[in-house]
Amino acid sequence: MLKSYEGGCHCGRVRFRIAVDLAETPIGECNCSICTKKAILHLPVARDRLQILRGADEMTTYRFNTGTARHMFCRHCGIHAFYQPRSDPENYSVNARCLDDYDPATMPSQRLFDGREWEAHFAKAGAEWEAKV
Amino acid sequence: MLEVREGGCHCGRVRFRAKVDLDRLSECNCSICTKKGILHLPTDPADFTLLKGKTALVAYTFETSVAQHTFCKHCGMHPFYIPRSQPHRVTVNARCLDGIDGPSLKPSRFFGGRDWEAAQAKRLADENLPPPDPMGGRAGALTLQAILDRAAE
Repeated sequence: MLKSYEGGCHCGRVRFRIAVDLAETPIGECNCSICTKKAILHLPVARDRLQILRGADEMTTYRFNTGTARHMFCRHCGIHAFYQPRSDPENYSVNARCLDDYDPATMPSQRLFDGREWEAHFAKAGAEWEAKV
Repeated sequence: MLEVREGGCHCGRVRFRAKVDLDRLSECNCSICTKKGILHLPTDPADFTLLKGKTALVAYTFETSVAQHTFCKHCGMHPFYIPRSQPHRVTVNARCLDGIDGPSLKPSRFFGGRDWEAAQAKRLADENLPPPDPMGGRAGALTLQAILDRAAE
């Protein structure tokens, strides 16, 4: 069931609200070069289910390699509350660590994206998704 | 095991070398460590060298402003910081060491920073240490400044 959650960066300038079904949307982590450093716990959210409540102008966007992913962070506190991933650039991946209700005991990472082997893993994940729908 | 490792931010503007002990990896559940997801490796400033990045780093502070939460203003990574609990030392973020597999890192120590005063009292008692001198609240800023002053670029 879709439920509303709010979250944000640390200094409070960036705030967001999402609608997500946590039972149907497993939190994941990734071992690629930037996810390792960011420590992000990925919660995929469709574009129309994320509302930036404030702070869109307070973020810096970092891009590298293909330039597809948009790694946004608050330029005041450096926290990455959400971003637009290379694997699904039209939508968002929210950092579960930045939810107001984040609880590591009840929101563990349940799957690993092998981002070090990005192309191979993306092809495999895509094939599995196609087989499901 | 103590070893000398290098690391940095993601875009490469910030680089450091430090003597760290991955067997003493710790995590903290305070408000900012939770969002940063940092895995802590405290070290002495004498064992930490900022190889480059002094103009790329900015420091975020809050509440007591003792801790200096440095990050690269270009890519937003937090490779090291000066902690409130040990403002005369430097904490390396293990996730920013070269050649690290993030998901396999398992901390062996824990600091309950959500209740900071109690966690600090417990840490000092466990390690038989006196409270650090906050130097009028400026200890963290002075430690950071000394690191920046020593850096070549």
